[in-house]
Amino acid sequence: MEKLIELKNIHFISENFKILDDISLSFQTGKCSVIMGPSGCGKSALLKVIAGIYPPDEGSFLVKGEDFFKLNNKKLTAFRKNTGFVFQDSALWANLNIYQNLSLPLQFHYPGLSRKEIETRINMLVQKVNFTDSLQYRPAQLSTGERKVLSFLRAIITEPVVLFLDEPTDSVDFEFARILRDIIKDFKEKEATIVAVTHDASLISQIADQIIVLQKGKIVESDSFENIKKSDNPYVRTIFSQVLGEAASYDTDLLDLLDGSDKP
Amino acid sequence: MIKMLGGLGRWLILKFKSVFYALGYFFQILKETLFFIQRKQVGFKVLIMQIYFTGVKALSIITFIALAMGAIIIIQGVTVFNQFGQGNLIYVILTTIITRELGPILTAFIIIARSGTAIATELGNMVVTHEIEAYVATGINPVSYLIVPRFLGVSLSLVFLTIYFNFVGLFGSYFITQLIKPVDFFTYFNSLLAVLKFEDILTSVIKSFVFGIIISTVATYHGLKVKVASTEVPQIVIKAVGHGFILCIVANVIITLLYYI
Repeated sequence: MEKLIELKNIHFISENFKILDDISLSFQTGKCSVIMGPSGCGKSALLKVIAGIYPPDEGSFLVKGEDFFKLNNKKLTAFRKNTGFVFQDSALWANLNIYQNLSLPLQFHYPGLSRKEIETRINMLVQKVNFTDSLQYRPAQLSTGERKVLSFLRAIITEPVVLFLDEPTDSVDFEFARILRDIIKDFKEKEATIVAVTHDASLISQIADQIIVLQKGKIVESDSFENIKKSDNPYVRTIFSQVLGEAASYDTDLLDLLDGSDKP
Repeated sequence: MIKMLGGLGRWLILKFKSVFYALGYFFQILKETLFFIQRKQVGFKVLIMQIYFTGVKALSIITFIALAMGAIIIIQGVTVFNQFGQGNLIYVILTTIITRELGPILTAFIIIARSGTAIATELGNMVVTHEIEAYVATGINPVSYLIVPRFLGVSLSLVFLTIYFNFVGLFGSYFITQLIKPVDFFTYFNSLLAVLKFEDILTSVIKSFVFGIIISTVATYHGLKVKVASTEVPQIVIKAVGHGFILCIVANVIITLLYYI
């Protein structure tokens, strides 16, 4: 399978603090990778580097074998059109209402779409998640969970084939979380490439092909989901047990727990 | 001593780096401005909103200040120059001060206080809430979508507001003056038009356009320099205002000197 994204010896420094330390990873087309680790270990920063939002301080970032930061405008726009990013804190555009938040990516990437077509597409999408609030509301008028759902909708409105998800089901209620998981699963079935930061055991069990475990900006383990579930590394097992909550223990077979997990 | 020199050297290198960074940022704006119309930008609406906010919404305060300044100059001038039998000099002073100096610089100061602060605050908050990153992730170039419309909006608005300031300052203030120190209507307008030269208007327009470029570039540059915390926002707004004032005054001096060379 083709390597879509490749990171080679990536270092990322922010405010004189080393966030990512010598990260080398690759992501294959159509596969789903999940990044795990404790808070503050650099998961979100890594995801933003993988998505080409944060330029690394050292190392190379390749998309289909080409240096991402040397891509011409046409290729860069095509990459962005085919990718969607869900931010941990939603990052909705506060000066635009919900409708405008959803329509702007469409207007930008599909300038030929009529107002009616844009409206139809947005209405179909909000109905899919049972979003009932007025689309004229500003993001500040919504709850944290609703904002997260809209951030998700904004990411998928252009029907991308690559998804970058930063805690997509975090702070949303049970029903919304279930709907979002189903949509992500649909994307996986359509062979979209997904890179997600999540601690949602149910989501991990449904979509993960590859797991990357981070500790203080370094990769502790990166392997297929099947292999990593059987890892002997105590740090990896601790992370898994935290994800699975009290249900997990070091003596339990994590494979069974994750395979059977369908809890929020 | 060596330590002190080392520190000074590092400070100088940092300053040079930041100047080059700012110049690079300015050229990036210029480049994106050239492509703005060609690319059928979705940012056109942002440009209209910026012109509305900077240009239209500032009309009332510009009217008030232009009327007041014009009236003050007429009253002071008529009183002083008449004492020396040089009453006609008031028209030369009026066109020189209002058109070439006060019009552009006072309008620029008002726009720094209104729009410069608003732009820096808005962009700074957008950085903190990761909204700028969301534009990048969506594929929308923040310079093209957010900065260029503000750059064009402020620059164009400042030109129109300065022309408006000059018009109100020169002609509108006549009516205020009538309440305090009546001057004959035809004498006033004929004398004013006789001394008003094309170069005065051109200087005024050039100055206001340059000030618009400075204000929008400085405000957006500082706004985007916010890194992680909302507490940085007021600090960068203060810097944007300070640098805006200084650079406008420096540009004013340079253009005025060039006029007389």
